[in-house]
Amino acid sequence: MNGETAQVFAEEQSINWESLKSRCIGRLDLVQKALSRFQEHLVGDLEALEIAAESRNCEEIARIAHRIKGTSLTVSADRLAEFAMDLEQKAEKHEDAMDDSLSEIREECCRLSEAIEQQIAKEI
Amino acid sequence: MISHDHDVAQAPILLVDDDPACLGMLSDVLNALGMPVVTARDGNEALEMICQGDIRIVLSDWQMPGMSGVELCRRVRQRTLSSYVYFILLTSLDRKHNLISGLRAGADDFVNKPFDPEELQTRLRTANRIVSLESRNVIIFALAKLAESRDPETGAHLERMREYSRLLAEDLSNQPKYADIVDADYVRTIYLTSPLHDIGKVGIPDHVLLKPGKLTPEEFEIMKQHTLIGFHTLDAAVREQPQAAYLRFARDIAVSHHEKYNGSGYPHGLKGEDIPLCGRIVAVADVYDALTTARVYKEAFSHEKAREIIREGSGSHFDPDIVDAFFRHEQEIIEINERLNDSLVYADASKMTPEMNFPLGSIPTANGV
Repeated sequence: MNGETAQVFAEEQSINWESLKSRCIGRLDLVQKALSRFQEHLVGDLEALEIAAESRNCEEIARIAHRIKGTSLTVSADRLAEFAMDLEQKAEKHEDAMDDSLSEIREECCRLSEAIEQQIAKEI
Repeated sequence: MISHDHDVAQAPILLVDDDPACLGMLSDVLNALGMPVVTARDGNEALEMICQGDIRIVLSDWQMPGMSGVELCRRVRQRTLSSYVYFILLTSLDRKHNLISGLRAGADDFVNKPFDPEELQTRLRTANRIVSLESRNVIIFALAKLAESRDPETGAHLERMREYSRLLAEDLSNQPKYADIVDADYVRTIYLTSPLHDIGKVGIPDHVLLKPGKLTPEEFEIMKQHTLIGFHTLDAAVREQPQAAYLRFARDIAVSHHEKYNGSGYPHGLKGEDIPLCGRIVAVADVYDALTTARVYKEAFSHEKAREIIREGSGSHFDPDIVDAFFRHEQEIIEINERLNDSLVYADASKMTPEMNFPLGSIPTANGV
């Protein structure tokens, strides 16, 4: 990731909170539940993705990336969804250059985790 | 604006998604909006729930491992006997899903992922209004009750015999010989249509139908016509709506429930498995109920006496497989007979005139006053 991209990411939010709140019909308890569920499943999906990437199992990578994309969109983690979609498309085309996408996903997941924890702390 | 009120009772919605996070959030939001939901993690689980339960609205993800949402929809549409299931497919914005393939599979609507709760609620309300319009089951039973209202010796006969029929069919669904024929749809359809078995009695003249005593041979010939009147009535409905398999089912029951396994029944003298299975099932249910119910010319037989008559009729009057099913569920049959006893279901029966066999009571009005 170059410096310019990092700057852009820092300015953007990993989660579009307004959109997520609206999807949860303004109910903060549902936002919390959605985020907890998201985090819980993301951990498993990331582990499965790493295993699939090691074995270069494109079909499995595409499947997991598709799920991460769907889950991310549901909680308005739009940037992670974009990275996951990028990886999904590459895996479907059996492209070799999937490592960059994987790195982006890992880094975005760290940012997301931080953002979610901050938000939860704020709500408490 | 999200609305929480209801104009009609909301049918349960089956949510299908392999992604537990999406499934959980959809479920939470719809529950918060007062919509009852059940969930399935894949197409096979969903199909099983649709076949077993009373699911009328399905909201399914398009892309799932194993059975896709489109394939699930196609399978649901292949169930010709069942009530209509309103099917909504969830589509991803980035995917150029072939919506035509979704429509061809029988999907009614599409909703984009990630969902917008207001849009989703509106679409689900539309779905609910549409499935509420299909009041098929109530109309069928009302029609059967109307036909039965001419017959003084009825009470809760229809209620009991559809329960017996369902019980016998359920048993057959667990027998290897019938597993491919009798499934959950079959069981539901026999429950739905068995009350129409005597619908042809509307065409039998009063002096025969209402005669308080044994019929003469000539009168019995007239009475036998009810099977053919029922057949022709329902066959006309089948010709009007050939895709409605439940009407064919009802027609077959009406014409064949007085056939006997040894070929001595009427109207066609069909023998053994030439008699439609639904007719063979209803024959046992109908006769058992007639035996255990009081008639103008006879007292109600005890269960013990009725069971002996059923046993003796195995292989001659009745299909032995159905008789076996009867005896495997004897206790439940006794319970149905007691639970739906005429003196309990129609407590005011003693006050009725023989011609007007309706329970007394206040007349409900549309606005409840």
